[in-house]
Amino acid sequence: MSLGSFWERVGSIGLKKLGKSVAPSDYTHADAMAANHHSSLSITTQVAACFAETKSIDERVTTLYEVHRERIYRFLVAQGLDPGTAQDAAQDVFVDLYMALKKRREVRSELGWLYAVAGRTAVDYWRRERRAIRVELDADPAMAEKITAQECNPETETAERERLIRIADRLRRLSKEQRLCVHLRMQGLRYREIAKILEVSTSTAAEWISSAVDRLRGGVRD
Amino acid sequence: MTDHLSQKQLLRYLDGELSKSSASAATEHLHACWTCRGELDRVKKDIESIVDAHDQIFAPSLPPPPNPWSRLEPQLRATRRPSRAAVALRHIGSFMAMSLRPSLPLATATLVMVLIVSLIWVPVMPCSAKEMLQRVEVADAKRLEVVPKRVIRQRVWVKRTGRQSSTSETSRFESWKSRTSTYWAVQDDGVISDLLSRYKSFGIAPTLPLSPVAFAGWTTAAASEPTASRQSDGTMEVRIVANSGTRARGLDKVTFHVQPDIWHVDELTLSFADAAFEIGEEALNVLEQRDVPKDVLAVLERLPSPPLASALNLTTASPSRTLVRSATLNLDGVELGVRYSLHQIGADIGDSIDISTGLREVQVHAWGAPPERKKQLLAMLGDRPNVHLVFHPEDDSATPAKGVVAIPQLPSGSRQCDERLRKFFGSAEIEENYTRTVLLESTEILARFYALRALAERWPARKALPLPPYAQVQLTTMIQDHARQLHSRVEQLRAQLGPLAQNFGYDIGPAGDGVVQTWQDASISGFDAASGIDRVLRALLTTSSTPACVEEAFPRLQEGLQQIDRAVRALQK
Repeated sequence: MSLGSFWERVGSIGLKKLGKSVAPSDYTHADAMAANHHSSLSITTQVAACFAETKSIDERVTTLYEVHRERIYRFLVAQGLDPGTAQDAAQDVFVDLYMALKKRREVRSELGWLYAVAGRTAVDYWRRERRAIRVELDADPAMAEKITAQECNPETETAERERLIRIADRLRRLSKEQRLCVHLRMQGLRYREIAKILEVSTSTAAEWISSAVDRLRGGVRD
Repeated sequence: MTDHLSQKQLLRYLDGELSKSSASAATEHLHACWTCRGELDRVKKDIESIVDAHDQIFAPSLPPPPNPWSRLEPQLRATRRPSRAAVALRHIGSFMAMSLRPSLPLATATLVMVLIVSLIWVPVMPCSAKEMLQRVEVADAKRLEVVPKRVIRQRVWVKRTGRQSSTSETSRFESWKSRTSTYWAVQDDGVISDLLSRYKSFGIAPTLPLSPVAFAGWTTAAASEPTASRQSDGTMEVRIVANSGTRARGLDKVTFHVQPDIWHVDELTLSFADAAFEIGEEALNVLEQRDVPKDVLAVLERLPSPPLASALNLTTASPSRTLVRSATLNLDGVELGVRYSLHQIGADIGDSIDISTGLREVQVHAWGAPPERKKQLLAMLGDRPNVHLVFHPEDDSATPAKGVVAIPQLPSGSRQCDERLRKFFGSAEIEENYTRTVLLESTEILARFYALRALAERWPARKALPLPPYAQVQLTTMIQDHARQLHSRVEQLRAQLGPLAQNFGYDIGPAGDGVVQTWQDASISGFDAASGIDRVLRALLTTSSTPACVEEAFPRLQEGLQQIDRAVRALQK
């Protein structure tokens, strides 16, 4: 660590201790709590802790990225984002988690956080896009063809598989709000968390989930 | 036994989303009811199937990422880019490391003291005023974005304080915004009507009173650099003092009160020459269309609506022309704004520009204007609401443009009927120069009275609808500008004619005070007098079909100049 970097750290901690921030939008209640906690330690100890903490957060987020980036990407594509946009947005979701951890925001479940941010990204995308939102399927794989064709050959597919294909087709044809609710529910988000992402009331979100399940169960019964 | 549980209740029960009491009741019922217990198991199994369908069929059918995944570390490093304060600290640190290496504890103590002093006494500004406005625009645009089948309702309070009287009045109103239109529910309120007319006169596009579009509009109108300052409560104030051109239009200053943690403008102050408006947001709601009052929805959706007293509906018809629909549409403010804009560039005297007012818009007939003038008009008025520029005669469905008094060219080889004038001047060249100078002054005086007469005819003394206060300021400013110039021109004309008149024994000195006149009467009488003077001068000094001699001309010139003196004095009051 260079002496210049040392002073930079000291200065940053000093700023937080005094309750000042050069970027007010980044300063949160969590930061104030952290500053209060840090004030009881020596500056040198605080500096060392900062460095250790930063390193571990980097590793954590990088690991999460390696493990879950495909899932987040597919989640976003399932909400109607085109693949290129979804891939960029997926990376941004992990950066957002990194920033949250750095700012010591309360993150009960890192995976839940990722899906919540991804959900908000999808909602923002819908607002920006004027065209109708459709889920894009891969042109090649046989499964995608089956879903869009809505035909199953009983000689080649088991009844169970047929049923799953029908459900998947219904999932694709849900309204974007219902589909997002179902996906977020699958990831363990509570109704009020889902409602917050979609900026609706909890009862509206519950209604969407119930309607979606009802339609999907229709595919189960067919 | 209680009623069977619905699928919705079963789903919420499974998801743990029922309230404690409902969950307890549901549990008790399920213990007793085979039907519901069976249905609960089926819901559970179906949900498992849905998850399987998603994992095994749906998710694999989605297209793979189009590009290889890039490493995340560079993006994480980019988020650690140092702020300006941190960069400054690094420089200080490097300097102290170089110069004070042997005394590290002293350097540490010194730097901490410097930090404490600077942070206490020098508030850290988060960013420049311009950046602040940009962040506000982005944050509020997101906040006020309208999605299909939703309507935004913004409730604001407005406090108007008069400059002269210092009394203030406060009103409240609701404004509504759908995807296609915006509506201010004005309801016969003078304060809100006044505010709305000022928004329109400064070309603020139809929008909510506190919105990014309005902020951008007022920022553009002020046309000056913003400055920012931190308030004692941690909020920020961005102030824009208007430039001279805008101040001439009545707007002195625009002030935004910003909450920097969420980049939200919660209060806007518009300071005009005659009054100040403070506008604050009381509430902002996003409503489903079904929750919007029917009359409001009808207005927003252009359906026939019940009559709304003094309601104004602002609808964006197209990007280039913005129409205002209203039960009581008053375009006086718009027309006056147009005339004032022409006055500011001198296009109200001598240019072939005419203005007419239709049902919905003010038309500026300028197809006779030179190309440079047309460009100016386009830049100035092209985007103004309810204003239509007519640059081609074939586009002009109204009466053709009437030419304003144009500065004429001096006919060559002027010859007067009275040879005594030739003797006075001594040479043809001096006579021509003299004639040219005198006629230019006369034409300028006539052109200004022509413009004043047009205003007087448009706004006679006993007009039905009074002008909005800001429009009154513009009108008064124009009248006084013309009066000032007329006073100066008349003095110059008198100075030119004086020696000639004295030579022939006539006095054309200024007149005493006459009958008190309104500015409208003064404009009309002044125009008559100026027309007469111009005719006489041409008859005296140039080749004319009705030439006049000295004895005919100078008494009429004297009378005309005195009449103009009285008119100018009345205009200056």
